[in-house]
Parts: sequence; C-alpha cells; structure tokens
Amino acid sequence: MIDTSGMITVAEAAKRLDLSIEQVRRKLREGKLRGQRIGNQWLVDETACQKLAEKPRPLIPRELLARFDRIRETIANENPGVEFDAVAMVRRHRDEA
Amino acid sequence: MSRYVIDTNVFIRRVVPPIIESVDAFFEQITTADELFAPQMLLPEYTSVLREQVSLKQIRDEVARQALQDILEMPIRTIVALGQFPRSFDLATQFQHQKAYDMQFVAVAEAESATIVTGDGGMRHAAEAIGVPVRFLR
Repeated sequence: MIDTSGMITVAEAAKRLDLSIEQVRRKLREGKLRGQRIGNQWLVDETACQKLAEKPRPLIPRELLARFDRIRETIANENPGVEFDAVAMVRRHRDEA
Repeated sequence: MSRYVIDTNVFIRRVVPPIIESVDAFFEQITTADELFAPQMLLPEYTSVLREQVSLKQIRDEVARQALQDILEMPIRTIVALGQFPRSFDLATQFQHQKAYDMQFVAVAEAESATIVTGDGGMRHAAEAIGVPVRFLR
C-alpha cells in the first residue's frame, strides 16, 4: 500500500502557492518541488510545499512587467528616437501644479 | 525585508522609453518579502502626467489608458496618514521648496521607515539631509 501521509493534491498545492495547477505540475516534473507520482496523478510533499510558499517570490507578477514592456515598446515605436525625460515630466508637473 | 516609497517618476520611467536598466532591475528584484508605499498623490500625479503626454500627442490615448490600468495592479500601499501633510509643509520650508509635493514622499518614507526610490536629484538631496535612505535610480 502506498503511503500518502504528508502529501497533498496538486490542486491544494496550487492554492497554497498561488500558482496554477499546470505551474505546480511543471515544478514537479522539473524537480523544483518534491512529490510523488502515483499512476497519472501527482501528489505534493506538504513540507516542501510549505517551504516553497515561505520563500520570497517576485512581488510584481512577470505578466504585469511584460505589459509595461509592451507599452514602452509601443511608445518607442510611435516616437522613433524620442527619449522621454520622466523625471523632468514629473518635476514640471509638480512645479506648475 | 525592505520597505520602499516609490516616486512617481520611477513608475513613469518604467512605461516610457528609453529603457533604464536600474529601474527595470529594481522592479524585477523586489520580492514578497518587501513592501511598496506611496503617498496618495502618486495615482493622481501618474494619471495627470500620462494625460499631459496624450494632449501633447506623444502617447496615444489607449496606450496611456493601458499604462494607467496596469499601475492599478501594482501592489503598492498608498498612505493616507494625516501627519504627512504638516510634515511635508515643514520639510518644504526647511529646503526652501515653493511647493510641498516632493516632500510628501519624503514625509511618508520617514514615517514608514522606508527607503525612497527616485530618479530626482532634488528629492534625493532632501531625503538624505534628514537621514531618510535613498535608492537613486540614474
């Protein structure tokens, strides 16, 4: 009989780690998260999951930073050669407010 | 764990060209162990600077609106403590600034024991003069 004590489901791990189920499965496949495969189903080691949850993660989601990149790229493409001086823009705004 | 007060110019620099490596690196390096703060004026100021660029035809309306929508998803805690206003007034007087806008960021950083993140040399100078740590992004 397989001992599944101290193991949690992928769905539960995803919830605790604030990740998608696919992201958890990927971590398991890549060995970045300890778990056990039983048939076609993965179970996640609860202690390993807890350790990963406590590890600091990027505060700003990568998707959000990528969206900022796309905005910057769009503005650059629409204003070739223009370099915006954001510090001066904000400074002028404050001085004229 | 670090606590940061982010100046508006840092957010604007993140969405307009040119790419400034130090700004990109800052946003990539902060983690869930860190906290971001700003005075309440951050969002009206960010909105207004973008709107001005639209009126100058430097940024298209829909692009500016997207930049505005995106900053609303940033995990920043805006500080509304009333004490920041008289303190910013005092600091503006001390540094002989005609306006007190900058000093709201300094006052919040001081009250929150946070580091100011800015690209503005004037704000850097004022913060350092009263012992508030600064991360100056060139």
